[in-house]
Amino acid sequence: MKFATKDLRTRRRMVVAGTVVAVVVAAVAVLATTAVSSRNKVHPRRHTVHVAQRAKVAVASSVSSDIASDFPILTRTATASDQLPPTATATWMPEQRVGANASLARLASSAEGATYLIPAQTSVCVKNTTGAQNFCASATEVQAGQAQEVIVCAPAVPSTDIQVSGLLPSSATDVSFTLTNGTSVPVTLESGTYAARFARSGSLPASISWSIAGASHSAPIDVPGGASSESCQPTP
Amino acid sequence: VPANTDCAISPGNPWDYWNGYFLFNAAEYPGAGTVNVCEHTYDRGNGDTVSDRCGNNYKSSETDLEYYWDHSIELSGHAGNNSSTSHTIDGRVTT
Repeated sequence: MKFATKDLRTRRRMVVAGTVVAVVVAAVAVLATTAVSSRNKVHPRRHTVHVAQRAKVAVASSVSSDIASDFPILTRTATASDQLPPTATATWMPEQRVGANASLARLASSAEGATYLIPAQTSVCVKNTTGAQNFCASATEVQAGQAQEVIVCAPAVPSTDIQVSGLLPSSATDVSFTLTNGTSVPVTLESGTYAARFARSGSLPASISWSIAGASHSAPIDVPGGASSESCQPTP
Repeated sequence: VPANTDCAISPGNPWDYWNGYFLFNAAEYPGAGTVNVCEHTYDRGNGDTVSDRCGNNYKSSETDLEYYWDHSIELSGHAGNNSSTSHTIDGRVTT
């Protein structure tokens, strides 16, 4: 399906709520005879696929108790600054899968754009207006330090950098990354959110550690192995 | 998908046209437990990566592909397994 340049925006509005084509990639059993691409090259595609549809999840009507416990900011009275700009929600389709409710959002950080916490049915989402943070996580993932997004390449991140962002319970203290060379880098937590950039050519984060009520915790940061050599398209 | 690799999400069959113009690319682990996945989208013109985002169980390209959609630039959507063991990973392209 090719699209003419003319009227693309109109066409996008028409189809953005439309077709979702899902394909299942590569059953392990057939991988011995299939070609797998390296991270930096586009190779022929030989994987078995089929179509699947995923139903939307009903929008959350309130903040779940476990999410509220991790992020008390979500229970404070809303102010004008908590309202997401329309441009931030216009193409927010992926989060429909978890029932995120933008009307329950709270502003968590104003560093580099605005970062919002947005309650969903059984999780909480993070959205930054620059596009540099977009993910959702359950309370279990937050408490385990697994609420993370690693951006190897994206228009909102300089092509020379990678970005690691995530969520921890907002009561966490002494938060720091440990880099692959053993260096510890302190992390600023704002209402439970964090984000940091690292030069692709340097040491990258291997883990994050934090304390809650005197107990120490840590979790790995899953930076893909090829991140250092990734050839990212400069921001168009 | 083997450990720490990614795959094109279209097999060169009638779905091949999705390996062209799309607005979102996503990777999802459909099973139980937690698996780190990556969506990985390339510019078919020069092979550079346009969007590569990784997270646990689900990751989409969010708004990264809007410019390419608006300018009819061909892309290649991949779904990746960013874990140390083999898993089935769903790839999903949306227009």
